Amino acid sequence: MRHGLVVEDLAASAQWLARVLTEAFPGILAVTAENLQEARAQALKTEPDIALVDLDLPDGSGVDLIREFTRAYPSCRCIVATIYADDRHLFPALRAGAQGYLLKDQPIDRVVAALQAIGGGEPPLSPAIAQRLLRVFSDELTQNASEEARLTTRERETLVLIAKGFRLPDVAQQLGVTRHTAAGFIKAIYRKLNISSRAEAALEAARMGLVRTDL
Amino acid sequence: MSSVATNSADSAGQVRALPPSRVIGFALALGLATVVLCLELACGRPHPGIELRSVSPGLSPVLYASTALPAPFEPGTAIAAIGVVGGPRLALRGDDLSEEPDSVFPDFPAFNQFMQRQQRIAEILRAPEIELQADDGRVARLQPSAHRPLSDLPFIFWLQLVCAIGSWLTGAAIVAFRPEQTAAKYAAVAGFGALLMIACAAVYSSRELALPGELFRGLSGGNHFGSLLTIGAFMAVLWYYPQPLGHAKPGPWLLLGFVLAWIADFMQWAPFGNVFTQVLIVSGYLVSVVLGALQWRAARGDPLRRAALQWFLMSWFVGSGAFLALVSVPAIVGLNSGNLQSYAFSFVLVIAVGLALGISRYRLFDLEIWWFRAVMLVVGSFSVIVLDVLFAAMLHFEAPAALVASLILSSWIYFPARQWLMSRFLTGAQRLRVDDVPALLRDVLAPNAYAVDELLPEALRQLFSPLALRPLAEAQEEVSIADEGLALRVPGIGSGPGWEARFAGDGQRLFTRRDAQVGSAVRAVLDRVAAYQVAVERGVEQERARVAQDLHDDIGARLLTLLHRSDGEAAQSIRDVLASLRLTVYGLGARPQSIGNCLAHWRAEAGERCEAIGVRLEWSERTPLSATLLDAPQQLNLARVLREALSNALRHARPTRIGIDVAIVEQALEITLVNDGATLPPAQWRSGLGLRGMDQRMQRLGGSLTLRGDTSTTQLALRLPLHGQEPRRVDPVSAG
Repeated sequence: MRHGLVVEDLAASAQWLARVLTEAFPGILAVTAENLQEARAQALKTEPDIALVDLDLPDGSGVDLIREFTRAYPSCRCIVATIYADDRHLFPALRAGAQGYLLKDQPIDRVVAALQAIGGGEPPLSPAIAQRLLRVFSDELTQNASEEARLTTRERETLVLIAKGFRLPDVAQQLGVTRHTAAGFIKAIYRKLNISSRAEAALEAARMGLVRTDL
Repeated sequence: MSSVATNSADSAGQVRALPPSRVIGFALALGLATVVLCLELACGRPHPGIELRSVSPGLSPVLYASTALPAPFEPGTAIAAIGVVGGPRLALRGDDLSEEPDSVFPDFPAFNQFMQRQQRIAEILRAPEIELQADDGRVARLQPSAHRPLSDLPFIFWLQLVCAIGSWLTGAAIVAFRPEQTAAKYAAVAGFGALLMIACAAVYSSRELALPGELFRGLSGGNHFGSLLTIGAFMAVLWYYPQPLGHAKPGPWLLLGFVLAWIADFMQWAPFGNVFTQVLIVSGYLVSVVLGALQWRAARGDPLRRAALQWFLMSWFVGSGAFLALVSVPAIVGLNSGNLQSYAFSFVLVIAVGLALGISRYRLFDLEIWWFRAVMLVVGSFSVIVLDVLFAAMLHFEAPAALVASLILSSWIYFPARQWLMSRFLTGAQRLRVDDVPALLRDVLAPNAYAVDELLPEALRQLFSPLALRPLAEAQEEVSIADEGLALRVPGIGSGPGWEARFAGDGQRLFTRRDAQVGSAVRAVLDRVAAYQVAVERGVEQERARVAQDLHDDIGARLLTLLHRSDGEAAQSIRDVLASLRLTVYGLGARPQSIGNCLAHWRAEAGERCEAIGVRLEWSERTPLSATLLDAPQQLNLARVLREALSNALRHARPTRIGIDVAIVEQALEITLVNDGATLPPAQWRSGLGLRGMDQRMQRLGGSLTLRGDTSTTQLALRLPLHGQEPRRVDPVSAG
């Protein structure tokens, strides 16, 4: 990790996120951008290896930026940094290609640890997010989905454990697999989320309150 | 509001179609009439009270047992002749006792001779006093009573009646619900044939010594007619069911052919005597085997239909095959199968039971399990009438005690039994709740009573008590009556499917125009309700989005700025505030959530906080946590109490380990927090630790908070009843 980009309009938060980056990856060059336009300009200049993106920016949505970056800079890891933990922010971001989703009000060492784990191949997945993924993949909603968009038993078990507040190492221990394998399950879940257009429809229904969303 | 339309078939259909329960009622009435007639024919004869057994067709029968043994005979005495006192005597033969003369006398001359002998014996039995002459010349006198008592009727008589009624009712109940299916009609005809065949045989096979010749001939003719009708109708069933084997409609011709054959048999024009009928029956059976095989072939490639057909064919061929093997085949080859025939009729019942099971398992004739319920309803309501008749018959007391006895019987046994039966089977028929529309709407629209998609079927169920209710695949324009009043089709509400209700009033009536109007009005109200609910949900969602926007833009941003400038306890407090805001606005707290879902959140939050300061969190869930939902106040308050309790423990006790134990005990959620930190025993705590607030929150939820502990460990127990109805319990909190 050489270049880091923080896209955040609040000065205090931007500073804090830049500090997170430098603590997580010593020696990284972290620059900040206040809005989408600035972010695009910065990216052209430095081609970031990692971007921490707020979702609600003055000139648009961070989701659009993530989508652009995922296409334009495939090696850049886009991580959402927000205070929203709800479906309407989470799922568009994940589908746009976000590789992590962090809440800005977490203690700094938690965020730093999560970012370092990404470097080691572990996509961060907080319990709140795992729960919502479970909902999307629940049998009721995806029983008509194609085979490849469905979760395997192991992936589902992983998701359930994380939703229950287990950490990745505990998940691996519980399932009797290596930490690396458990991380693989989570990556597969992300991938399937992108495939599952059925899930998108279900999500839309859930958002409108038409479908019971409790697990 | 959708208008009411009735199919063109409706007005005409009102005349043609009958409510299923009426049809079953008719069938049951006919069955009961048959029983009464059989009882009359069996009991209305002179009753000599002796039982004879045949040793050999040509030899004298022997006295087997007797209610009043005529002196000087003993059991085993061979009775050579019978006659009126002082009159001529008629020599008795073993074959006079034949249960089924068809098989004993295949030729018409022998058969007619048997009938003449029956006539003469019957005439002798009618005399006030008769004489029996034994082989050894001894003579005994006997006075036959005027009637044969019911208790004297043998087991096989009742068995045959049960078989007759069972077969008939099964067939009739099929056609009652599927009048439009040709096969169902022939199934009913086959049932009627079985009724005739078995009921006739029941009377003559269980006779004492003799029946008048003409009556016997009539019953024998009825028996032949019934069996020919059964086999003919069944061939027709197999032609049409499960699907017609061709465009030809052979049903009526088959029946006609078998009726003509019967006339030839009855008028004794047929060749080969009685064997003619039996040969016809066996050939009919063989033809039906061929038809069954053709149907089987036609059903290839459709495993479900094959499974149903397999069951259908098996019950028919096993039942009728066994029957033929015991009755017709011996008759053709000249064997006397004796009283085996009477038992063989139970195989006919096997067919009926097989059909009934097939209906429940494989939906034979497209009938389902409710078919049984409908039949039971009608049979049950008839049992009230039967009870009345029995009771009236029992009240033939002679002495003055009769009054007392009948009073006791009626008040203690009869009326309660009658009432019970009435309440079980008759109230359903009177429950036409069309006038109760306001009550119905109140029920259906009660808060949280039904989900939107359940509103319409539930309303239809309550309005019309239909036997079957299914969603419709095709869209409906308006409320309509279909299938000649057997069904009512109602368009769906909101985006839901339309529904079809079949067999109004538990199958006891038809849908009328009035039903359609009421259904239409109720549907319109429900449609509005559904639209309103969607609008409300959309409104709530929009409002939530607006508040969420504000949260981020204003409060959230400021809190975050504050958070990133502070650390330690202040930072944690800000995090708590942010978490509470999130709870209020989104997911958790905004709508009911399952306990499991909430706990996962709390566990994650507690885990993060403990980890941040190096305390080990041991979380255990003892019982499987149900899917019970926690409403918004429960979620918010419990989350805050837990957060506060954890803060207190981490701040004041400085523990190395925190245990949180969750269980559901007696319909209550119990959460226990234990820490191993050192602090004063709770009794010595000063207030101001937030305990009072926590306790108030728990009380607001109808729950409780209890503290226990000493200097080395503290335990805080939260209890939340999960069904809000329980009275609020206020536990004293040690800290006051």
